[in-house]
Amino acid sequence: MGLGRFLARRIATFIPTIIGVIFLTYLIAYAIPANPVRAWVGGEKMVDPKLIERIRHEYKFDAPWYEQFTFLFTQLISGQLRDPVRGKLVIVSLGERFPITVELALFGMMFLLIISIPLGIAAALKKDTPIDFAVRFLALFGSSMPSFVLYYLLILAFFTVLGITYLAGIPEPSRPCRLFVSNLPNVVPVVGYLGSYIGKIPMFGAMMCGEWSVVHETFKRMWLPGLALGLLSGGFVARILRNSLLDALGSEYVLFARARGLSKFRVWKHALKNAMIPVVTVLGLQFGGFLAGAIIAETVFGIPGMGRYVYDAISRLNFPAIIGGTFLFAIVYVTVNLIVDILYAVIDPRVRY
Amino acid sequence: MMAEVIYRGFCIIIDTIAKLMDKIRPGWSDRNSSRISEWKLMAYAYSRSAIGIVGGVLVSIFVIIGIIGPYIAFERYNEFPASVNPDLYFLRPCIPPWCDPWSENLPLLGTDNWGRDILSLVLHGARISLVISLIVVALGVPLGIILGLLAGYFGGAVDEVMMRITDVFIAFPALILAIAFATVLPSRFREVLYTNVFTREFFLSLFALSKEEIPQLASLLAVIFALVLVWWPGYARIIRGSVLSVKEQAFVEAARSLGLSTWRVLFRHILPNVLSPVIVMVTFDLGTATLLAAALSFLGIGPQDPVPELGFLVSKGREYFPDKWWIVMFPGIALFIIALGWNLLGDSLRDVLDPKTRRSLEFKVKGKKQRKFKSVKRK
Repeated sequence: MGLGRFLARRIATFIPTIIGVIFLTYLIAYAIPANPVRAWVGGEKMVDPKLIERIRHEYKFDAPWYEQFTFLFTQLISGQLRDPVRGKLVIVSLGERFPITVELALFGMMFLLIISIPLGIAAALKKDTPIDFAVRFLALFGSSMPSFVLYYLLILAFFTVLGITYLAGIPEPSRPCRLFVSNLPNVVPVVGYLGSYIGKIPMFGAMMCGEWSVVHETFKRMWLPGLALGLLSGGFVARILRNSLLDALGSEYVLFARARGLSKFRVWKHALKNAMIPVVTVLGLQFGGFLAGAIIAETVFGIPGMGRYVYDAISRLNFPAIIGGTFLFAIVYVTVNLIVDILYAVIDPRVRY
Repeated sequence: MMAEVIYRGFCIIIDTIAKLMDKIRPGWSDRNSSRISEWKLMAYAYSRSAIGIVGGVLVSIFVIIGIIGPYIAFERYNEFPASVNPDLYFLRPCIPPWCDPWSENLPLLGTDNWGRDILSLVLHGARISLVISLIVVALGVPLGIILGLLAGYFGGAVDEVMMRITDVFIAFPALILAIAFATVLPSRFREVLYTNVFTREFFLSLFALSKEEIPQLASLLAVIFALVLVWWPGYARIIRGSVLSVKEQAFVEAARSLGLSTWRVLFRHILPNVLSPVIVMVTFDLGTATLLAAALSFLGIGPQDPVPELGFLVSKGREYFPDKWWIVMFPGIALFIIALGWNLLGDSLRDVLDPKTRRSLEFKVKGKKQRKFKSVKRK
């Protein structure tokens, strides 16, 4: 199958997935709760019956299920879902916070690369040595440690005891700096928010404005959450790189390269290029995982991102915000996975399915 | 030495099973002698892996504590000593090398904001975590396996529809989908628990909770079912993949041409051949489910006060963090040890259940000394 057909098929399955995502969201919002109106107005607290009546009408609880579904569908797709606590559109609140979550995920990614790539290579080249065991241990540690406990341990160590980091809040540049100001967000909400927001990520915005003190501040606050995210999945990625590099080193083209008398480093370079292919996929999926896992990291480290918004929505039983947040998280996650899949097919000519 | 004892123990168990099977079906052990020797080889491989033994020990301790924990905890979770004696607020932990809990009359792991003993809470929390992880895996995995079997075996439209549904579930990040389900499910479960006495008593005794905690129990069940709904798609995908390759093999063709029913072919011939990666995955997932359930409670979705769910204890302790660090740390360490145990066990089971590593081990052993993995000779 050619690359074009692969892409066409992959994107064709993307659309039913999104429709399915909306249907599942509908089930969560309308069908599963025993008393959905109650849930939408804020759970079990005593509520004004007039408000219940209004919500029942406004969110079409008195309509048949297909009308409810199309209502939710249009609301989600056009981003009209309104958050009753703040009185703002959910997608606007989430859109404002999304760049901060991306910044956190980028810091996590940076530390993940710093930790996993050298360790993975070292573990493969020095198989069955202390380095190899250390990598194995780190992988076990990362998959066994409850993330929130690790975050508190790091805060205890670096904030309370050593006092070498800052917590909570995100430094923002003093004026909005964007590379390109576009109207895209209003036309295609999801794609627009994803696409034209690079300048809205506070650190990049500050870089574009040349406010280097803000960049410095950002590093002082974000290195600890980034390190925490990197530690949690660093061992896992390093293990995958180790295994794939070992496979590559045992293959025939490496034998051939050695037989031709290439230097050690040249041989490793050849092997590493091929070994990186599965690692790139895993890294991409990890990035999606960081965006989704931000809900815990942002809660603990006090970062006002998308996850924090969902957390606040949960604690206030702000149901439209939970629904909108769930939907947007799914969209982001699916899109990241789609990009990873496409990248994988592009960089590895052997994969065409 | 230790390894030898463990190996001998497993051998005794395997021989007993063989003898029992012989009683039920005469001649069973002769017909299955190769299987028995394979089991013994597995036992040998397991007994030689240090991480497997450590994991096994951790898991057994956790399971034992999970069973007896609520009964050996010296304080009930719903007693609040600080309301009687205010001196019991936030007592510091008193861990033996640095401090003697008996002579100073201090609690081993400290107390929380209500003067409850953290050790008792953790012992009870272990039960809750154990039950959650077991139910999630016991419901989610078979569901995934059955759907994966059907999709892989029947193919065509069934396959396409099921895989699209699976895609939808996988499209959500697991934590987010579990959050969404767990926020909406409690209302349903509360209805069931208030009306159905049997279900209520069953789950209350399963979690060792008292009657006042019915709303909390509903949230606990919501967490469990949210995780089940998140859990099955992974298994459905993996099983479908293996079924696709197994069903083309000759023995399936033979079974079908002998006129066996579809169910028999599916469950007697295909299922056993796709199950071995699942066993390893289940072991890892018992740890992951524990952590994910704790993460949900940490975010305030699971049970609330006074239920001592480990994740919820951590989230309560964070109000007093870092001054009163022990409220966060000890439940957290308990969670870490539980997950570590399952992960270590899974890591070694992956090697033990892999026929390739097992074979290489057999050759290595045979080279050293003549050890035969044979079943008992019976005449």
